[in-house]
Amino acid sequence: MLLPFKIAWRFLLDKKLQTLLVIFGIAIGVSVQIFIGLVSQGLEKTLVNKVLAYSPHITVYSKSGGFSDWQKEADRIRSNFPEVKAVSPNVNSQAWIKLGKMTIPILVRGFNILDTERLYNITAAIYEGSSPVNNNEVLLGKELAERLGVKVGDEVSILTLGRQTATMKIVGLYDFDVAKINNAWVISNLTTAQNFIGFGDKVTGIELEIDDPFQADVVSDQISRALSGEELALSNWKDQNQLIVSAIVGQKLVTLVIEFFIMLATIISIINILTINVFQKSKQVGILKAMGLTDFSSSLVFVYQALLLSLGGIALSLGFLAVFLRGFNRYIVTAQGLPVVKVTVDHRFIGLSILIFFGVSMSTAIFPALRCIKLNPIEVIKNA
Amino acid sequence: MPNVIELIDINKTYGTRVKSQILYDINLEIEEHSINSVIGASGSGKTTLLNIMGILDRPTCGEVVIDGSNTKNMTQCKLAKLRNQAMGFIFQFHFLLQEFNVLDNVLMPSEIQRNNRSEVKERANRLLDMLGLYKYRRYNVLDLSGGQQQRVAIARSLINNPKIILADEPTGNLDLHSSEDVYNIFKQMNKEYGVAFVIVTHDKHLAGRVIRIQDGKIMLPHNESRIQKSHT
Ligand SMILES: Nc1ncnc2c1ncn2[C@@H]1O[C@H](COP(=O)(O)OP(=O)(O)O)[C@@H](O)[C@H]1O
Ligand SMILES: [Mg+2]
Repeated sequence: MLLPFKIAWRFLLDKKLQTLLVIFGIAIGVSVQIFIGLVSQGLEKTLVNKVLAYSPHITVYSKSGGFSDWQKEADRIRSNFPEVKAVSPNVNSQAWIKLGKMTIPILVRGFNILDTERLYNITAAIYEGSSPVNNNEVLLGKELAERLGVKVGDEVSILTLGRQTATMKIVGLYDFDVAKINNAWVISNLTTAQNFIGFGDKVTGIELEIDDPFQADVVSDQISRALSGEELALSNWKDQNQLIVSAIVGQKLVTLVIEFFIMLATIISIINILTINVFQKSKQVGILKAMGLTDFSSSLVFVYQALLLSLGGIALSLGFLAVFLRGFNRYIVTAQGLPVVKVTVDHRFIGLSILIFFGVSMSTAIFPALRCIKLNPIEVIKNA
Repeated sequence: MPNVIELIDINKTYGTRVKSQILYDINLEIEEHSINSVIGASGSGKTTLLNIMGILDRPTCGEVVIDGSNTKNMTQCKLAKLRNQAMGFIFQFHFLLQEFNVLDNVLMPSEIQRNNRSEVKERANRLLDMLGLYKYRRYNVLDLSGGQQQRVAIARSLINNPKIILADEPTGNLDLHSSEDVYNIFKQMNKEYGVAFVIVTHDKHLAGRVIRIQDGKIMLPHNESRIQKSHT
C-alpha cells in the first residue's frame, strides 16, 4: 500500500502547477457549493423566521368562537403527535387600553405561560418584572409601555368589546424585538383572559409548533383527522403564506440544481485530470508493471492521487469558505450594517456536503484506475 | 546446469481477424549463469520472443517454464511476482521514473517486493558504486547522460538479485563507447553475481551463446558457431 501512495505523491509533485490548479479548482467548487447551500439555508431561515416569528405553525380553533373540551384535545395531540413540540391553548380578544385620555387598540392574549414557552419564549422576553402568574396581572410590550408612560406596578384599565372595563396590574414588560407585537399584545394568564371576555373555561384556540415547519400542512391534516370535535378547524402557516412558501421552495430547488452542477463540474475536473495523468504516466506505469507491480497496486496509484487531490481540495475549500462567509457577513449588509441574510455555519450541512463530494470523487477514481489496469506494459515498451 | 527459462513449442500469432504468425514452434533453454545473444533481422520476432520469455506477453500456444515452475496457469498477480523476483529487465530506452532520484529508481523493484531491509540499500549502493554512479545517487535521473541512465537501469535490474536479465537492444540508443561499457558491465555482473543474460542485439559483442532468429524461427546451432567465430 505504501509504494502506490509514494508513487502517487511523486506523480503529483512532478506536475506541481497542474496539481495546484486542480486542488484550487476543487476548493473553489466545493466551497462555492457549500456557500450557496448555506446562503440558501440562511435565506430560508430568515424568511421563515420573519413569517413564523409570532405566528404558530398550526392553529386549532373552533368555528363557533370558543371550545371547552380543549384539555382533552390538547392531551390527545401531545400524546399522539411526537412531532408537535409545543401545545399552547390560548384566549384572544380584541380590546382597548385606557390611560387618561389615551385609548389604544390592543389584543389581549391569555396563555398558560409554561405551555407557551416553546412557542413564544415570553419569560426570556421579559426585561423587567415577572410573568403574570396571578389573575388580573398583565405584561405590556416595550413600545406600548413607553407610549402610555407606565411602569411595572402601575395599573391600567382595559375595555372589552362589550364596553366593560377591567383593571389590570402591570407585573412585567417584554420586548419581542417586533414593534408591531410589542404595541399590540397585552399578555395575561389563561383565566384572566377567560374572565375578561366572560368565556368560562373555554379557549379560542390551541396553537401548535412542530419540528419541521414545512410539514405544517401534512401534520395539520393528520391532526384534523384525529380530533373529535365537530366544530373544530385547523389552519397552518403554509396555507396562509403560500407565496412565500413557494418562493422558499423555488429557491431551494434552484440552489440544489446549482449545487449539483458545481459538484458535477468539480468531479469532472478530477476525472479529467486523472485520466490525463494515466496517459501522461503510462510509460511509468508500464515499466512498473514490467518490474512486477500488480495491476491492483498500480491502479491504487490513481486512487491515491484522487484521494490526495480531494483531501487537498477539501482542506483548501474550508479556508475559502471561511473567507466567503466573513466577506458575506461583512460586505453584503443592509443600510444598518446587518447582514442581508444571516448565514450561519451549519457544521452538519458542511460535513455532509464534504462527505458527499468525497464519496463521489473517490468512486469516480474508478475510471482512471480501470484504465490503468488495462494498460499493457508491452504496448508502452514498444511505443517508446 | 539447470535452466532458468525453458520455452516449449512456443507459437505466437497476432491479430484476431487477420492473423499473422510471428513465432513458430520455438524450443529454447536458457541455462543458469549463461550469456545469450539473440540476433536477427528487424521484424524477425526478437522482441516478441523476449517478451514471452519475460512473461510480459503470453504465447498463443506452448509453455514457458521459469526457474522450474510452469507459468501456463499463473494469474496476472503471480506472474508479476515472479517477474519481480526472478527477472530483471533492460530496454532500449532506460524507462527510469523521472519523478524519483537515482537511488529510488534502483530500489524500485525491491520496494515493489516490500523489501526495505538494510541489505537492499547496501546492495543498491554497492551496485551504484560498481557502475560509477555512487556520487550521482541523489541526482534526478534526467540530469544524467544517456550512458549513465542506462547504467542506472542496469543497477535497477539487478537489485532483487534476479536469476536472469532480459535486455532488448540495451545499447541501441547509446554511442559506441557507452555500448562497450554496458557489455563489459554485463560480463562483470555475470561473473560477480552469476546472473544469466539474454540480450537482443544488433552488434554481436558478447562472448557466449548466440541465438539466431529468422522469420520467427530459431536457426540451427551450426550457424551459431560460425557467427561466433567470425566475431571473437
Ligand atoms: N502487437 C502486435 N500486433 C501485431 N503485430 C505485431 C505486434 N507486435 C509485433 N508485431 C509484429 O511482429 C513482428 C515481429 O516484431 P518484433 O518481435 O518486435 O521484431 P524485432 O524485435 O525482431 O524487430 C513484426 O512484423 C511486427 O510488426
Ligand atoms: Mg525489437
